[in-house]
Amino acid sequence: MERKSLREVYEEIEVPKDEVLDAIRTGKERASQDIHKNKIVPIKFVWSTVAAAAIIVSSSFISPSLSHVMAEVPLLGNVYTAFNDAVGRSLQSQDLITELNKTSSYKGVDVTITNAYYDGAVVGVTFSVNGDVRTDEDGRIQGFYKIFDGKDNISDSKEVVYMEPSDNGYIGHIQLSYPKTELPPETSFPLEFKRIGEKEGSWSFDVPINQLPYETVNVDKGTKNEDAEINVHFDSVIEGKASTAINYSATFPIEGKYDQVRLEAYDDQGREIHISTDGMDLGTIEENNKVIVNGRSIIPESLNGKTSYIEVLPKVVLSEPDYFVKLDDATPVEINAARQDLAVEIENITVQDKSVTFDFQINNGNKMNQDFLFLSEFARNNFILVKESEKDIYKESIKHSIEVINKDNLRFSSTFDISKINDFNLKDYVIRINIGTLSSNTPVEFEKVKIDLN
Amino acid sequence: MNELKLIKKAIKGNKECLEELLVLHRDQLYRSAYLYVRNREDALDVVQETSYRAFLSIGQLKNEKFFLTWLTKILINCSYDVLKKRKNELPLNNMVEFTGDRREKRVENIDLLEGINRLNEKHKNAIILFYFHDLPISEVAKVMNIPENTVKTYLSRGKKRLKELLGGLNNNGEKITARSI
Repeated sequence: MERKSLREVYEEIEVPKDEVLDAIRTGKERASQDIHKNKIVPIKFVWSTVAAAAIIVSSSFISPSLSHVMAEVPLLGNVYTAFNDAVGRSLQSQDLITELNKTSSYKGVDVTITNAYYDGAVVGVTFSVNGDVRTDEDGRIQGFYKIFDGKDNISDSKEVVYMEPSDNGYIGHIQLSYPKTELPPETSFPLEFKRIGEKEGSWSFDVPINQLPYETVNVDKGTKNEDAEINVHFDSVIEGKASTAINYSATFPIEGKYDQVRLEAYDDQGREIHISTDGMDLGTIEENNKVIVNGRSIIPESLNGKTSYIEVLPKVVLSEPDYFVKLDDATPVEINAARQDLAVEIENITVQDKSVTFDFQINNGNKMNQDFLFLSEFARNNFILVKESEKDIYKESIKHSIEVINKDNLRFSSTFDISKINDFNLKDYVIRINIGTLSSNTPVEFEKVKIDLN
Repeated sequence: MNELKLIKKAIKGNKECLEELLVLHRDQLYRSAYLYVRNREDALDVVQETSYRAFLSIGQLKNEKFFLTWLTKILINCSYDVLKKRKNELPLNNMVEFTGDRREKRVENIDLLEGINRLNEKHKNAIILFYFHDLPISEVAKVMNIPENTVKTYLSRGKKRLKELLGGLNNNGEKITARSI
């Protein structure tokens, strides 16, 4: 086979240059936010983006060529199409968008809020930018905004937004789920742009929004998982004109404070309904050693006339603390997750002059439908030799190699090179086991709950 | 600034230099991601995740010569993560559709890509790294953590299997002839 012909095929894969640039920058932004936390974000983060991608694929990016057309210079009128906002698009076709035209100027840059909608629990805003702004290489400009004064207890209250060139200036779009349990019918929310292009400043608005008529279905049904001590209770469903919100409250034991609820929804034909915003945290109450989280998930369409009921299947990712094993602990050491059927066993530990080796088994050899590659990566990255005094700091690990002892039983052996460590004392070191990576990929499932809509 | 200088600065923590490097290699990043995940949205996710992990861990890169090797390794891991999630989470269909005339032109190529996708993982990795990333055998061996001779074996087995696969039928049910293989 000639290298040339293969390369030709490779080079014919069309590259959506702008989107790739975006992806690189989003990765950069995420990393710069996380570096401050000094902690490796578990793999679960990826999940939501995959889910989001799936929704985009199914809703309007029917083919790469169509999405390309959509990415071309949008007209002011079809902003919701250009930014792929299914709710906004549907409301626009029903003529339910409110025109606003409010302008704020700063340092020669005008930002105008052009229109807005408020449907059920979903709020959308479009805006335009005119004036002296420097664009990115790809012709777009980037902005940074805060809603509700960027309060930390409100999810996504500080975000980066990209604006596309339009026939006269630039246009942008923000969609958010109203971040409070109560949905006031007539309200306004503070929106402030802190950066447009390269200009820092303040363009601030109080965006008036009026909720479109909606119906509330009271639900009052729950589902439990005894082992995990979690109860997910569905409170109500809000049926908007172009969106559906599911309100629930989930009760966790205190150690489950960081557990995450994910919902899957199915229609009366058993088809999956896409959820665009999942597990929004609207507020947390702690009482009697329990944590109650009010949550909301959004389906970006009206289900009116499409299905008579929905079945909702909660899946909860349990947060697990790190476990530590001392090098002189008597082996084998068995570690069991408290609320879920996950286990690891350190079979033996050998400390030599230049190396520390330990053999271990994951989950008694039960693969739990994970593929081996994931499990071997888990073995490599989550059984780490660390100094006890630094056991909560996530930094580059000591050089180590991993060997598969038995693939079928999930038994591995990990060897850490301690030759570079002066005065190595085995009492100062522990093995840190981050079982959370395993639990975040193995959500606990609940019974489905049927919710009648009409 | 030449690439090596950029890499050195990036390792020292200059984020703009790392961004420039990623942009420099963006076509390769996207195409390789696409080879693994086979749809645009997931490929973009892989690129984003790769960028994210690269920014988090660039400080750990010891030798600037191995920047691409290091980046490729991250990319492959991210691709597998997405594939894995897809398997666990959502039955994502490949939403790749082609308009009329494009289909004519591309059918043979798509089959070749499809063929690569159907290879055993090890053979597939070797072929992608060697043919598409232009890495020398010694570097492919490093990325895959295997001896050089094993890389050669994977390459030849992969090619053999690819020829067999391409001897099959294309999307339209017609027998296709793979060119220059």
